[in-house]
Amino acid sequence: MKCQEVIQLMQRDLDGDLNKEEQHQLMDHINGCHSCTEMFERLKHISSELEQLPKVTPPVSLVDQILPQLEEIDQVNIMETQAYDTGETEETSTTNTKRTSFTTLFKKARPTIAFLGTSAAAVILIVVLTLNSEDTLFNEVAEESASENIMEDSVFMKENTEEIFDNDVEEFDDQTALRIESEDANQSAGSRSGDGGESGSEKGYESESGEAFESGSEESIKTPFQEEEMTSITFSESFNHMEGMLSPDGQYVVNIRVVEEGGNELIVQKVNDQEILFTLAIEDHLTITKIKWLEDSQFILLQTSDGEKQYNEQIDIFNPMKPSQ
Amino acid sequence: MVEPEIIKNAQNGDREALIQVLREIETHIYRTAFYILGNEHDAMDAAQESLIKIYSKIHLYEEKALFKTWIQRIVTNVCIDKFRKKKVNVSIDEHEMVIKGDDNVEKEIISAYVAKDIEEAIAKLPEHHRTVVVLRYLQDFSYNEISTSLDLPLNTVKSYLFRARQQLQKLLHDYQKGGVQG
Repeated sequence: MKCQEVIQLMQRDLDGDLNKEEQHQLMDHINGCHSCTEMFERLKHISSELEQLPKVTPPVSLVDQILPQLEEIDQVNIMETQAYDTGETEETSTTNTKRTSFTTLFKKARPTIAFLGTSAAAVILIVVLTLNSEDTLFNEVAEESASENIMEDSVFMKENTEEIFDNDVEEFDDQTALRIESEDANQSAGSRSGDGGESGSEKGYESESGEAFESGSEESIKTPFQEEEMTSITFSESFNHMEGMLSPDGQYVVNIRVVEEGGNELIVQKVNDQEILFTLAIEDHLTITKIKWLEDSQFILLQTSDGEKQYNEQIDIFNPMKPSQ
Repeated sequence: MVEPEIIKNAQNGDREALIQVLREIETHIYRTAFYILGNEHDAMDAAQESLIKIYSKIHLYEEKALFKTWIQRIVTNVCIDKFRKKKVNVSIDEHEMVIKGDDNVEKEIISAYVAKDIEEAIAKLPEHHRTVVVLRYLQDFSYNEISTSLDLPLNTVKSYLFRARQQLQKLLHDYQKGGVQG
Protein backbone atom coordinates (compact mmCIF):
# COMPACT_ATOMS: atom_id res chain seq x y z
CA MET A 1 0.00 0.00 0.00
CA LYS A 2 1.29 3.42 -0.91
CA CYS A 3 1.87 6.07 1.74
CA GLN A 4 -0.61 8.36 0.02
CA GLU A 5 -3.35 5.76 0.38
CA VAL A 6 -2.36 5.21 3.97
CA ILE A 7 -2.77 8.90 4.69
CA GLN A 8 -6.30 8.61 3.41
CA LEU A 9 -6.86 5.81 5.92
CA MET A 10 -5.36 7.90 8.70
CA GLN A 11 -7.72 10.72 7.86
CA ARG A 12 -10.75 8.46 7.93
CA ASP A 13 -9.53 6.87 11.14
CA LEU A 14 -9.61 10.29 12.79
CA ASP A 15 -13.31 10.42 11.99
CA GLY A 16 -13.95 6.87 13.17
CA ASP A 17 -14.69 5.82 9.63
CA LEU A 18 -12.51 2.69 9.37
CA ASN A 19 -13.63 -0.90 9.69
CA LYS A 20 -11.50 -3.52 11.45
CA GLU A 21 -9.75 -4.67 8.32
CA GLU A 22 -8.83 -1.16 7.26
CA GLN A 23 -7.54 -0.44 10.74
CA HIS A 24 -5.25 -3.44 10.46
CA GLN A 25 -3.99 -2.28 7.09
CA LEU A 26 -3.26 1.12 8.55
CA MET A 27 -1.42 -0.24 11.58
CA ASP A 28 0.56 -2.76 9.51
CA HIS A 29 1.83 -0.03 7.26
CA ILE A 30 2.59 2.41 10.02
CA ASN A 31 4.62 -0.10 11.96
CA GLY A 32 7.01 -0.40 9.08
CA CYS A 33 7.04 3.19 7.84
CA HIS A 34 8.71 5.91 9.82
CA SER A 35 7.41 8.87 7.86
CA CYS A 36 3.83 7.63 8.07
CA THR A 37 4.17 7.13 11.81
CA GLU A 38 5.23 10.74 12.08
CA MET A 39 2.46 11.97 9.83
CA PHE A 40 -0.14 10.02 11.79
CA GLU A 41 1.10 11.54 15.03
CA ARG A 42 0.84 15.01 13.56
CA LEU A 43 -2.64 14.45 12.21
CA LYS A 44 -3.83 12.99 15.49
CA HIS A 45 -2.36 15.99 17.24
CA ILE A 46 -4.24 18.38 14.94
CA SER A 47 -7.45 16.49 15.39
CA SER A 48 -7.21 16.54 19.16
CA GLU A 49 -6.39 20.25 19.11
CA LEU A 50 -9.48 20.83 17.01
CA GLU A 51 -11.56 18.82 19.44
CA GLN A 52 -10.31 20.99 22.27
CA LEU A 53 -11.13 24.32 20.67
CA PRO A 54 -12.89 26.54 23.21
CA LYS A 55 -16.65 26.17 23.05
CA VAL A 56 -17.18 29.89 22.76
CA THR A 57 -20.50 31.42 23.76
CA PRO A 58 -21.93 34.81 22.83
CA PRO A 59 -20.98 37.55 25.30
CA VAL A 60 -24.62 38.60 25.64
CA SER A 61 -27.89 37.00 24.69
CA LEU A 62 -28.31 37.42 20.96
CA VAL A 63 -32.03 36.80 21.05
CA ASP A 64 -32.57 39.60 23.57
CA GLN A 65 -30.73 41.94 21.27
CA ILE A 66 -32.81 41.15 18.22
CA LEU A 67 -36.21 41.12 19.94
CA PRO A 68 -37.09 44.60 18.62
CA GLN A 69 -36.27 43.52 15.07
CA LEU A 70 -38.35 40.40 15.45
CA GLU A 71 -41.28 42.54 16.50
CA GLU A 72 -40.82 44.68 13.44
CA ILE A 73 -40.98 41.58 11.29
CA ASP A 74 -44.23 40.62 12.97
CA GLN A 75 -45.62 44.10 12.31
CA VAL A 76 -44.69 43.97 8.65
CA ASN A 77 -46.25 40.53 8.35
CA ILE A 78 -49.49 41.74 9.85
CA MET A 79 -49.59 44.71 7.52
CA GLU A 80 -48.88 42.52 4.55
CA THR A 81 -51.67 40.20 5.48
CA GLN A 82 -54.12 43.07 5.81
CA ALA A 83 -52.98 44.59 2.56
CA TYR A 84 -53.32 41.26 0.88
CA ASP A 85 -56.86 40.87 2.15
CA THR A 86 -57.85 44.16 0.57
CA GLY A 87 -56.09 43.21 -2.63
CA GLU A 88 -53.62 46.06 -2.51
CA THR A 89 -50.50 44.03 -2.20
CA GLU A 90 -50.77 42.34 -5.50
CA GLU A 91 -51.20 45.60 -7.27
CA THR A 92 -48.29 47.29 -5.57
CA SER A 93 -45.91 44.45 -5.85
CA THR A 94 -46.57 43.99 -9.54
CA THR A 95 -45.77 47.60 -10.18
CA ASN A 96 -42.59 47.39 -8.19
CA THR A 97 -41.55 44.28 -9.92
CA LYS A 98 -41.93 45.78 -13.31
CA ARG A 99 -39.98 48.84 -12.48
CA THR A 100 -37.07 47.04 -10.92
CA SER A 101 -36.85 44.50 -13.61
CA PHE A 102 -36.95 46.87 -16.48
CA THR A 103 -33.93 48.67 -15.14
CA THR A 104 -32.17 45.40 -14.71
CA LEU A 105 -32.98 44.19 -18.14
CA PHE A 106 -31.95 47.41 -19.73
CA LYS A 107 -28.61 47.23 -18.02
CA LYS A 108 -28.17 43.65 -19.06
CA ALA A 109 -29.17 44.31 -22.61
CA ARG A 110 -26.24 46.59 -23.27
CA PRO A 111 -23.65 43.96 -24.05
CA THR A 112 -26.11 42.42 -26.46
CA ILE A 113 -26.57 45.68 -28.22
CA ALA A 114 -22.87 46.03 -28.64
CA PHE A 115 -22.87 42.55 -30.01
CA LEU A 116 -25.41 43.49 -32.68
CA GLY A 117 -23.41 46.52 -33.55
CA THR A 118 -26.15 48.79 -34.88
CA SER A 119 -28.25 51.21 -32.97
CA ALA A 120 -31.31 50.46 -35.10
CA ALA A 121 -31.16 46.87 -34.05
CA ALA A 122 -30.77 48.05 -30.52
CA VAL A 123 -34.00 49.99 -30.70
CA ILE A 124 -35.83 47.01 -32.12
CA LEU A 125 -34.29 44.86 -29.49
CA ILE A 126 -35.57 47.06 -26.74
CA VAL A 127 -39.02 47.01 -28.28
CA VAL A 128 -38.87 43.25 -28.38
CA LEU A 129 -37.76 43.23 -24.79
CA THR A 130 -40.61 45.43 -23.79
CA LEU A 131 -43.19 43.46 -25.69
CA ASN A 132 -41.89 40.27 -24.30
CA SER A 133 -41.70 41.76 -20.91
CA GLU A 134 -44.35 40.03 -18.84
CA ASP A 135 -42.88 36.68 -18.15
CA THR A 136 -39.25 37.28 -18.85
CA LEU A 137 -39.14 40.25 -16.59
CA PHE A 138 -40.44 38.22 -13.75
CA ASN A 139 -37.68 35.77 -14.32
CA GLU A 140 -35.15 38.50 -14.05
CA VAL A 141 -36.47 39.56 -10.71
CA ALA A 142 -36.71 36.04 -9.46
CA GLU A 143 -33.14 35.57 -10.34
CA GLU A 144 -32.10 38.86 -8.85
CA SER A 145 -33.59 38.31 -5.49
CA ALA A 146 -32.55 34.73 -5.39
CA SER A 147 -29.01 35.30 -6.35
CA GLU A 148 -28.30 38.13 -4.03
CA ASN A 149 -25.87 36.23 -1.88
CA ILE A 150 -24.86 33.50 -4.05
CA MET A 151 -24.30 34.45 -7.62
CA GLU A 152 -20.64 34.96 -6.90
CA ASP A 153 -18.35 32.00 -7.22
CA SER A 154 -20.21 29.84 -4.85
CA VAL A 155 -18.86 26.48 -4.07
CA PHE A 156 -22.10 25.39 -2.57
CA MET A 157 -23.47 24.47 -5.85
CA LYS A 158 -26.73 22.75 -5.21
CA GLU A 159 -27.86 25.72 -3.31
CA ASN A 160 -27.32 27.82 -6.40
CA THR A 161 -29.30 25.35 -8.34
CA GLU A 162 -32.19 25.54 -5.98
CA GLU A 163 -32.07 29.25 -5.90
CA ILE A 164 -32.27 29.64 -9.59
CA PHE A 165 -34.41 26.76 -10.64
CA ASP A 166 -36.84 26.07 -7.87
CA ASN A 167 -39.79 27.94 -6.61
CA ASP A 168 -38.38 27.38 -3.22
CA VAL A 169 -36.06 30.31 -3.54
CA GLU A 170 -37.58 31.95 -0.58
CA GLU A 171 -35.74 29.84 1.88
CA PHE A 172 -32.56 31.75 1.33
CA ASP A 173 -33.63 35.05 0.01
CA ASP A 174 -32.75 38.06 1.98
CA GLN A 175 -34.71 40.98 3.23
CA THR A 176 -38.11 40.35 4.56
CA ALA A 177 -39.15 43.61 3.04
CA LEU A 178 -38.66 42.08 -0.38
CA ARG A 179 -40.67 39.06 0.43
CA ILE A 180 -43.89 39.69 -1.41
CA GLU A 181 -42.09 40.87 -4.44
CA SER A 182 -39.88 37.89 -4.74
CA GLU A 183 -42.61 35.44 -3.97
CA ASP A 184 -44.61 36.92 -6.75
CA ALA A 185 -41.73 36.74 -9.08
CA ASN A 186 -41.00 33.21 -8.11
CA GLN A 187 -44.46 32.14 -8.89
CA SER A 188 -44.20 33.53 -12.35
CA ALA A 189 -40.81 32.02 -12.85
CA GLY A 190 -42.16 28.76 -11.62
CA SER A 191 -45.19 28.67 -13.83
CA ARG A 192 -43.05 29.57 -16.73
CA SER A 193 -40.49 26.87 -16.31
CA GLY A 194 -43.45 24.56 -15.94
CA ASP A 195 -44.19 25.10 -19.61
CA GLY A 196 -42.19 22.02 -20.39
CA GLY A 197 -40.24 21.95 -23.61
CA GLU A 198 -40.65 25.62 -24.24
CA SER A 199 -38.74 26.80 -21.20
CA GLY A 200 -36.49 29.80 -21.56
CA SER A 201 -33.29 27.93 -21.27
CA GLU A 202 -34.05 25.48 -24.02
CA LYS A 203 -35.14 28.09 -26.44
CA GLY A 204 -32.07 30.06 -25.72
CA TYR A 205 -29.88 27.12 -26.13
CA GLU A 206 -31.34 26.03 -29.43
CA SER A 207 -30.74 29.46 -30.78
CA GLU A 208 -27.10 28.83 -30.29
CA SER A 209 -27.08 25.96 -32.69
CA GLY A 210 -27.41 28.44 -35.50
CA GLU A 211 -30.91 27.54 -36.68
CA ALA A 212 -32.29 30.81 -35.53
CA PHE A 213 -29.58 32.78 -37.24
CA GLU A 214 -30.51 31.38 -40.60
CA SER A 215 -34.22 31.96 -40.38
CA GLY A 216 -34.56 35.62 -41.15
CA SER A 217 -33.91 38.98 -39.67
CA GLU A 218 -36.65 38.96 -37.11
CA GLU A 219 -35.26 35.85 -35.59
CA SER A 220 -31.74 37.15 -35.58
CA ILE A 221 -32.83 40.12 -33.60
CA LYS A 222 -34.55 37.94 -31.12
CA THR A 223 -31.73 35.50 -30.88
CA PRO A 224 -29.27 37.59 -28.96
CA PHE A 225 -32.05 38.46 -26.62
CA GLN A 226 -32.82 34.85 -25.99
CA GLU A 227 -29.22 34.15 -25.55
CA GLU A 228 -28.96 36.97 -23.13
CA GLU A 229 -31.95 35.66 -21.30
CA MET A 230 -30.43 32.24 -21.11
CA THR A 231 -27.15 33.57 -19.88
CA SER A 232 -28.69 35.53 -17.13
CA ILE A 233 -31.07 32.87 -15.99
CA THR A 234 -29.28 29.67 -16.43
CA PHE A 235 -25.61 30.44 -16.50
CA SER A 236 -23.50 32.11 -13.97
CA GLU A 237 -23.16 35.84 -14.60
CA SER A 238 -19.57 35.42 -15.53
CA PHE A 239 -20.26 33.22 -18.53
CA ASN A 240 -19.59 34.90 -21.81
CA HIS A 241 -20.38 33.03 -24.98
CA MET A 242 -17.71 34.75 -26.94
CA GLU A 243 -14.87 34.32 -24.50
CA GLY A 244 -15.99 31.46 -22.30
CA MET A 245 -15.69 31.52 -18.58
CA LEU A 246 -12.42 31.97 -16.74
CA SER A 247 -11.48 29.87 -13.77
CA PRO A 248 -11.16 31.77 -10.48
CA ASP A 249 -7.38 31.60 -10.70
CA GLY A 250 -7.50 32.93 -14.25
CA GLN A 251 -5.51 30.05 -15.68
CA TYR A 252 -8.18 28.08 -17.49
CA VAL A 253 -11.17 28.85 -19.59
CA VAL A 254 -14.22 26.76 -20.31
CA ASN A 255 -16.28 27.13 -23.45
CA ILE A 256 -19.15 25.44 -25.26
CA ARG A 257 -18.92 24.50 -28.91
CA VAL A 258 -21.74 23.29 -31.12
CA VAL A 259 -20.90 20.05 -32.85
CA GLU A 260 -22.13 19.77 -36.43
CA GLU A 261 -23.43 16.25 -36.03
CA GLY A 262 -25.56 17.44 -33.13
CA GLY A 263 -24.97 17.98 -29.47
CA ASN A 264 -22.39 20.16 -27.87
CA GLU A 265 -18.91 20.01 -26.54
CA LEU A 266 -17.38 21.41 -23.46
CA ILE A 267 -13.84 22.61 -24.03
CA VAL A 268 -11.37 23.48 -21.35
CA GLN A 269 -8.24 25.33 -22.37
CA LYS A 270 -5.27 26.91 -20.74
CA VAL A 271 -5.43 30.64 -21.01
CA ASN A 272 -1.75 31.29 -21.64
CA ASP A 273 -1.07 28.99 -24.58
CA GLN A 274 -4.59 27.88 -25.55
CA GLU A 275 -3.62 24.28 -25.02
CA ILE A 276 -6.76 22.18 -24.84
CA LEU A 277 -6.96 20.17 -21.65
CA PHE A 278 -9.91 18.19 -22.86
CA THR A 279 -13.17 18.31 -24.72
CA LEU A 280 -16.23 16.61 -23.42
CA ALA A 281 -19.15 15.68 -25.63
CA ILE A 282 -22.56 16.50 -24.25
CA GLU A 283 -25.19 14.13 -25.54
CA ASP A 284 -27.66 15.41 -28.04
CA HIS A 285 -30.74 15.23 -25.86
CA LEU A 286 -29.18 17.16 -23.00
CA THR A 287 -29.36 20.89 -22.63
CA ILE A 288 -26.66 22.59 -20.66
CA THR A 289 -28.40 24.66 -18.06
CA LYS A 290 -25.47 25.79 -16.02
CA ILE A 291 -21.72 25.88 -15.96
CA LYS A 292 -19.74 27.05 -13.02
CA TRP A 293 -16.18 26.95 -11.79
CA LEU A 294 -15.67 25.82 -8.26
CA GLU A 295 -13.40 28.01 -6.30
CA ASP A 296 -10.38 25.79 -6.42
CA SER A 297 -10.20 26.17 -10.22
CA GLN A 298 -10.00 22.43 -10.48
CA PHE A 299 -13.63 21.47 -10.77
CA ILE A 300 -16.35 22.58 -13.10
CA LEU A 301 -19.92 22.15 -12.14
CA LEU A 302 -21.93 21.12 -15.13
CA GLN A 303 -25.66 21.04 -14.95
CA THR A 304 -27.65 19.52 -17.75
CA SER A 305 -31.27 18.78 -18.32
CA ASP A 306 -33.15 16.42 -20.58
CA GLY A 307 -36.31 18.46 -20.21
CA GLU A 308 -37.54 16.40 -17.30
CA LYS A 309 -34.67 15.83 -14.97
CA GLN A 310 -31.65 17.83 -14.05
CA TYR A 311 -28.23 16.30 -13.77
CA ASN A 312 -25.34 17.73 -11.84
CA GLU A 313 -21.85 16.67 -12.53
CA GLN A 314 -18.62 17.86 -11.08
CA ILE A 315 -15.81 17.56 -13.55
CA ASP A 316 -12.23 17.43 -12.46
CA ILE A 317 -10.42 19.29 -15.23
CA PHE A 318 -7.28 17.28 -14.64
CA ASN A 319 -9.17 14.05 -14.72
CA PRO A 320 -12.31 14.76 -16.71
CA MET A 321 -13.26 11.16 -17.45
CA LYS A 322 -13.92 10.43 -13.82
CA PRO A 323 -16.63 12.71 -12.55
CA SER A 324 -16.25 13.00 -8.82
CA GLN A 325 -19.89 12.33 -8.25
CA MET B 1 -30.95 19.56 20.71
CA VAL B 2 -34.31 21.30 20.26
CA GLU B 3 -37.48 19.33 20.97
CA PRO B 4 -39.40 18.59 17.77
CA GLU B 5 -42.59 19.50 19.60
CA ILE B 6 -41.39 23.06 20.20
CA ILE B 7 -40.31 23.42 16.61
CA LYS B 8 -43.72 22.31 15.47
CA ASN B 9 -45.43 24.81 17.73
CA ALA B 10 -43.11 27.49 16.46
CA GLN B 11 -44.01 26.62 12.90
CA ASN B 12 -47.67 26.80 13.75
CA GLY B 13 -47.32 30.41 14.78
CA ASP B 14 -46.58 30.09 18.49
CA ARG B 15 -44.31 33.07 18.93
CA GLU B 16 -43.16 32.09 22.41
CA ALA B 17 -42.09 28.70 21.15
CA LEU B 18 -40.21 30.30 18.29
CA ILE B 19 -38.33 32.60 20.64
CA GLN B 20 -37.50 29.61 22.81
CA VAL B 21 -36.13 27.78 19.78
CA LEU B 22 -33.93 30.75 18.99
CA ARG B 23 -32.64 30.89 22.55
CA GLU B 24 -31.74 27.24 22.45
CA ILE B 25 -29.80 27.48 19.21
CA GLU B 26 -28.12 30.85 19.59
CA THR B 27 -24.93 29.45 21.08
CA HIS B 28 -24.55 26.86 18.34
CA ILE B 29 -25.12 29.48 15.72
CA TYR B 30 -22.67 31.88 17.32
CA ARG B 31 -19.98 29.23 17.67
CA THR B 32 -20.06 28.38 14.00
CA ALA B 33 -19.98 32.04 13.04
CA PHE B 34 -17.13 32.72 15.44
CA TYR B 35 -14.85 30.10 13.97
CA ILE B 36 -15.71 30.83 10.37
CA LEU B 37 -15.34 34.59 10.68
CA GLY B 38 -12.61 34.55 13.30
CA ASN B 39 -13.74 37.34 15.60
CA GLU B 40 -16.44 38.18 18.08
CA HIS B 41 -17.78 41.25 16.36
CA ASP B 42 -18.47 39.67 12.99
CA ALA B 43 -19.70 36.51 14.68
CA MET B 44 -22.30 38.50 16.65
CA ASP B 45 -23.48 40.18 13.47
CA ALA B 46 -23.71 36.98 11.50
CA ALA B 47 -25.37 35.07 14.32
CA GLN B 48 -28.02 37.74 14.76
CA GLU B 49 -28.68 37.89 11.06
CA SER B 50 -29.03 34.11 11.00
CA LEU B 51 -31.44 34.10 13.92
CA ILE B 52 -33.59 36.72 12.23
CA LYS B 53 -33.62 34.60 9.10
CA ILE B 54 -34.61 31.54 11.03
CA TYR B 55 -37.35 33.54 12.72
CA SER B 56 -38.89 34.63 9.46
CA LYS B 57 -38.31 31.37 7.57
CA ILE B 58 -39.24 28.85 10.20
CA HIS B 59 -42.29 27.79 8.20
CA LEU B 60 -39.97 26.63 5.44
CA TYR B 61 -38.22 24.07 7.59
CA GLU B 62 -39.30 20.56 6.66
CA GLU B 63 -39.20 17.81 9.18
CA LYS B 64 -37.46 15.36 6.91
CA ALA B 65 -34.23 17.30 7.42
CA LEU B 66 -32.53 17.55 10.77
CA PHE B 67 -33.20 20.88 12.39
CA LYS B 68 -29.55 21.25 13.36
CA THR B 69 -28.38 20.82 9.76
CA TRP B 70 -31.01 23.27 8.57
CA ILE B 71 -29.91 26.01 10.95
CA GLN B 72 -26.24 25.39 10.28
CA ARG B 73 -26.91 25.74 6.60
CA ILE B 74 -28.41 29.15 7.24
CA VAL B 75 -25.58 30.38 9.41
CA THR B 76 -22.84 29.09 7.11
CA ASN B 77 -24.51 30.84 4.19
CA VAL B 78 -24.68 34.09 6.09
CA CYS B 79 -21.03 33.74 7.12
CA ILE B 80 -19.76 32.93 3.69
CA ASP B 81 -21.63 35.88 2.32
CA LYS B 82 -20.10 38.17 4.93
CA PHE B 83 -16.73 36.64 4.41
CA ARG B 84 -16.86 37.32 0.69
CA LYS B 85 -17.90 40.92 1.12
CA LYS B 86 -14.99 41.40 3.43
CA LYS B 87 -12.57 39.54 1.29
CA VAL B 88 -12.77 42.12 -1.46
CA ASN B 89 -10.42 44.26 0.61
CA VAL B 90 -8.29 41.43 1.81
CA SER B 91 -6.38 40.63 -1.38
CA ILE B 92 -6.06 37.38 -3.19
CA ASP B 93 -4.45 35.31 -0.47
CA GLU B 94 -7.32 32.88 -0.66
CA HIS B 95 -6.53 31.64 -4.11
CA GLU B 96 -2.92 31.10 -3.30
CA MET B 97 -3.95 28.88 -0.48
CA VAL B 98 -6.12 26.73 -2.65
CA ILE B 99 -4.69 23.30 -3.00
CA LYS B 100 -4.93 21.55 -6.31
CA GLY B 101 -4.46 17.94 -5.34
CA ASP B 102 -3.45 15.83 -2.43
CA ASP B 103 -0.04 15.15 -3.89
CA ASN B 104 0.83 18.79 -3.94
CA VAL B 105 -0.20 19.67 -0.45
CA GLU B 106 3.35 20.06 0.77
CA LYS B 107 4.48 22.16 -2.14
CA GLU B 108 1.45 24.37 -2.38
CA ILE B 109 1.62 25.98 0.97
CA ILE B 110 4.04 28.78 0.96
CA SER B 111 6.32 28.99 3.91
CA ALA B 112 5.02 32.43 4.83
CA TYR B 113 1.81 30.78 5.91
CA VAL B 114 2.84 29.52 9.27
CA ALA B 115 0.68 29.79 12.31
CA LYS B 116 1.53 29.70 15.94
CA ASP B 117 -1.67 28.15 17.14
CA ILE B 118 -4.59 26.21 15.86
CA GLU B 119 -7.03 29.13 15.78
CA GLU B 120 -4.65 31.20 13.75
CA ALA B 121 -4.13 28.26 11.45
CA ILE B 122 -7.87 27.80 10.95
CA ALA B 123 -8.13 31.44 9.94
CA LYS B 124 -5.71 30.71 7.12
CA LEU B 125 -7.80 27.96 5.59
CA PRO B 126 -9.89 28.63 2.49
CA GLU B 127 -13.46 29.38 3.51
CA HIS B 128 -15.08 26.13 2.48
CA HIS B 129 -12.37 24.03 4.10
CA ARG B 130 -12.78 26.04 7.26
CA THR B 131 -16.53 25.66 7.21
CA VAL B 132 -16.25 21.88 6.97
CA VAL B 133 -13.77 21.81 9.86
CA VAL B 134 -16.07 23.95 11.99
CA LEU B 135 -19.06 21.71 11.41
CA ARG B 136 -17.02 18.59 12.06
CA TYR B 137 -15.32 19.75 15.25
CA LEU B 138 -17.47 22.46 16.75
CA GLN B 139 -20.85 20.98 15.87
CA ASP B 140 -19.78 17.32 15.98
CA PHE B 141 -21.38 16.71 12.60
CA SER B 142 -20.89 13.50 10.66
CA TYR B 143 -19.78 13.52 7.02
CA ASN B 144 -23.42 13.11 6.09
CA GLU B 145 -24.66 15.94 8.21
CA ILE B 146 -21.99 18.25 6.82
CA SER B 147 -22.94 17.19 3.34
CA THR B 148 -26.58 18.05 4.00
CA SER B 149 -25.81 21.37 5.64
CA LEU B 150 -23.54 22.58 2.91
CA ASP B 151 -25.22 20.82 0.00
CA LEU B 152 -21.95 19.31 -0.99
CA PRO B 153 -21.37 15.76 -2.22
CA LEU B 154 -20.06 13.43 0.45
CA ASN B 155 -16.75 12.98 -1.34
CA THR B 156 -16.22 16.70 -1.52
CA VAL B 157 -16.86 16.99 2.21
CA LYS B 158 -14.23 14.35 2.90
CA SER B 159 -11.73 15.85 0.56
CA TYR B 160 -12.17 19.32 2.09
CA LEU B 161 -11.85 17.96 5.59
CA PHE B 162 -8.79 15.87 4.78
CA ARG B 163 -7.10 18.69 2.96
CA ALA B 164 -7.90 21.06 5.78
CA ARG B 165 -6.26 18.80 8.35
CA GLN B 166 -3.27 18.34 6.08
CA GLN B 167 -2.94 22.08 5.73
CA LEU B 168 -3.33 22.63 9.43
CA GLN B 169 -0.66 20.12 10.33
CA LYS B 170 1.60 21.69 7.75
CA LEU B 171 0.99 25.21 9.01
CA LEU B 172 1.70 24.26 12.60
CA HIS B 173 4.58 21.98 11.76
CA ASP B 174 6.34 24.76 9.87
CA TYR B 175 5.97 27.02 12.83
CA GLN B 176 7.43 24.48 15.18
CA LYS B 177 10.33 24.00 12.82
CA GLY B 178 11.07 27.69 13.05
CA GLY B 179 8.84 29.06 10.37
CA VAL B 180 10.67 29.50 7.13
CA GLN B 181 11.40 26.49 5.08
CA GLY B 182 13.35 26.06 1.84
